[in-house]
Amino acid sequence: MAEFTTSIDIEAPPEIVFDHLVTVDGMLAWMGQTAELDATPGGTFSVDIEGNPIRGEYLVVDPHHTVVVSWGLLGSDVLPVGSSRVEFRLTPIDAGTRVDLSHTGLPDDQVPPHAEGWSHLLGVLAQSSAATRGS
Amino acid sequence: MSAGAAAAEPLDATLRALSDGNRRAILEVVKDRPLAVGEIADEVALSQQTTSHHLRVLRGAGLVTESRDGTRHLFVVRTDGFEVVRQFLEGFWPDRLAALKAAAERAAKDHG
Repeated sequence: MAEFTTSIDIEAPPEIVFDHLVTVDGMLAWMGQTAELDATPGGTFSVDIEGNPIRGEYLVVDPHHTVVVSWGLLGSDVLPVGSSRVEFRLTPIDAGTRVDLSHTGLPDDQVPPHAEGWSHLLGVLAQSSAATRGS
Repeated sequence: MSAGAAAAEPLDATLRALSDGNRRAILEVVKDRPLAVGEIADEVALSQQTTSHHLRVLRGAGLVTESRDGTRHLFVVRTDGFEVVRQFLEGFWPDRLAALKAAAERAAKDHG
């Protein structure tokens, strides 16, 4: 399974960054148009991003330090609900907060079980990216 | 960051190729078996000329491959186009984190 990691330094304290991961208003300020969030372990993590229904659960909620959610695209064979995990790790730094993100359990470059899966996923993502670019 | 931008180029081609409903229909038709242009055109109810054009775009984006069977040119989905899913997601997060940074820094300012 493939993994993707990235990080960013944010000039805001960890508690404010944390709010953006666990509250609907905070989440929608940077990702998605509608969200339903219950930031407790096992609680709903549901965000629609440009029409892409991202569905999962909060797996770890450690205030101001760590948030882990399961992450999948509703109806997708390639990235089904529950198939991947996104971890946000918040570390206090002088300027504010470093966010380390890792997205694990991503599909490998193997032959997919159904070619339909990825062409469908890419279709919706293509529309999404066009919409994002247009806005 | 510049490496990311370079890597995103073929991805853009892929996403552009997939932004067209007719091309997505063509991918559906050739996902299981290689077909000639005429057969594909019949299936998606487009002219052979239009279908050829779409197939060129799809091939340029690495989404279909072309092979020869005698004089016939056959097209089929190229399964390692799957790689672009991963690439897409890798482009997704840096953009989203940049948005998170902007939002959190705005909120921090508002809090004084």
